[in-house]
Amino acid sequence: MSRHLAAARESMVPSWDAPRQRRVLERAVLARSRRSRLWRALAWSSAAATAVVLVRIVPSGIGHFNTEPSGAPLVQPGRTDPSTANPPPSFTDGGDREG
Amino acid sequence: MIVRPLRLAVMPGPADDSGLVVRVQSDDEGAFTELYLRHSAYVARVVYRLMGDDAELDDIVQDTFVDAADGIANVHEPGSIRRWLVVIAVRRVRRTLSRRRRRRWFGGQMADMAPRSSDPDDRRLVDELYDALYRLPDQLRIPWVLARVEQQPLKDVADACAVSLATVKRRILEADERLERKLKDE
Repeated sequence: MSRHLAAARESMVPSWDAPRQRRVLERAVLARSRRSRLWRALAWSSAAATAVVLVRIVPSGIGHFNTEPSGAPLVQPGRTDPSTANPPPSFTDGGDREG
Repeated sequence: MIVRPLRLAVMPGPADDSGLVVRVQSDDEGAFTELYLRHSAYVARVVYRLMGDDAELDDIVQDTFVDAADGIANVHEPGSIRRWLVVIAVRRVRRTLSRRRRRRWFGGQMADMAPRSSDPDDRRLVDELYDALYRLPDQLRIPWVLARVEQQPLKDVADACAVSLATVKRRILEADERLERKLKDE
């Protein structure tokens, strides 16, 4: 195998001349700029999508859960609490009272 | 006698690479070109020896440098950039080899895998060697070529193949045995 190895080391050298080197460099530079453009476009579109989510969805989502300050009464002034206005029939009054 | 000092004077050392890598890291386009011009011939030779032909050499070298430019911010040892380029090139070669195997599995394309030797006298030996290498799995073939043909230190081969030193030694020995057997048969 040593002869095979010596032959491979000796002759397995590509013809990497200046025009070929230059051509591959040009392609690499092109591919690099294309790739960075693609990444930039992806970054911008994901930033835009995030902005849309923040502007449209998040405020309304928060509104459902926390529109009032924590100290606000559960029943608004001037309104009757539905649970006291129409109490359900109680089993203790023998069913005389309507709900 | 005179050639060696001259070559050393011309060949850039790790110290030069460090400054160059720092410049590439700061998006200096000229530095990227310089890095490419300095190392592309070496990367091309490694890839050529790993592949056994130059059918996709340009593509692999190009992709290696594009990947390198993308990931150069993560290089912590700028002095060993050449070793790092080989790691990337090996990853690309592995992908290309497995794609070829898939293609061959479906369509049968052996023609473009014939190795090319620049010296006709060595042609037969190189053909025999690479015919035997094609029959090895990539995980044996790649470390074997890097260690035996390219004569890289085992530590670098282990890094390039992303395996431990013990594993890379075992794989090279296994490849030695298999190749020895195949070359004797022929």
